[in-house]
Amino acid sequence: VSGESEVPVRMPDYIVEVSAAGQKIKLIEDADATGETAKVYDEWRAHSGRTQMPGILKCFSHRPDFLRYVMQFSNAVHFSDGHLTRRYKEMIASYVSFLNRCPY
Amino acid sequence: MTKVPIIEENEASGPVAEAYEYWRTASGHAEIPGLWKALSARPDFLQQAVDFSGLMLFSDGHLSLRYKEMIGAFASHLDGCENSSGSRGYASLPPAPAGDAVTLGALLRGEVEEAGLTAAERALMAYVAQVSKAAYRTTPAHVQKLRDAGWTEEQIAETVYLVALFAMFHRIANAFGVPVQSDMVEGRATT
Repeated sequence: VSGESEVPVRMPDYIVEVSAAGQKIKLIEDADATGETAKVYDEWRAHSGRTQMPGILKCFSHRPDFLRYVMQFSNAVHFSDGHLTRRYKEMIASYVSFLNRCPY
Repeated sequence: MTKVPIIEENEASGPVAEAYEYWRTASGHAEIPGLWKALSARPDFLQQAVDFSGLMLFSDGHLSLRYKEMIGAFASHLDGCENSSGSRGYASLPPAPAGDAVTLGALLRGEVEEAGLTAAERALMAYVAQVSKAAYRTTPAHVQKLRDAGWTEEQIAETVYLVALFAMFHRIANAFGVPVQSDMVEGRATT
């Protein structure tokens, strides 16, 4: 948030372990995407205004039809206010990331 | 009575009633299973869940429906969720062959060795267990074992999607405490 001082964040040890394992299942990278995968990647870029697909979404590249649904329900349930505000959703997501030992 | 309140069919109105009708049309069934009613607080998400479940869980993909049911049954055991065997069987699918019923029943009980699996299927179930219990501890070697057993990259990826999707539904079912609606428990195995 603008105006707040930077607070160093101590990263949990599991992040080192997970990162060391590297990529395990092959993903379709932005440059390699063709057909329906390229089309869904383009839809995400147009919606987000960003140029590079995040790794977490590329995990779904083997089922681009499902990736489209993941983007839709993530926007509906996670990335917008609902019965819970975005703030609470992010708090839940952060803690669940820790509980699942997921650096994402 | 569930632990978290759900909207029953006779109480549903507005978007919830519309979402329930959407489920009935998609499934061809009249009565909404408890697991789906657990999504009634977000009827927009319920409709999306109907769509992506039909796509990913109830139809052939890189994995056949048979393998998806095997993964679902074993994931039910791993997640400690008794509900899902019946709720997965909603989609007006043909009855499972008798051999599959034995396999799925054994996997629901976590009895992999009793499930009559091939070596490749046992490798797949070992991977399902690893992803279910500690996905962060999977390694490139785990994935290579599956490739060596004959599974394609797309099938391995789809296995991960399925374990994750089932985990979501199992957590919802267990957290809400929706009643078990299991055809298998009643001895009427369906897939």
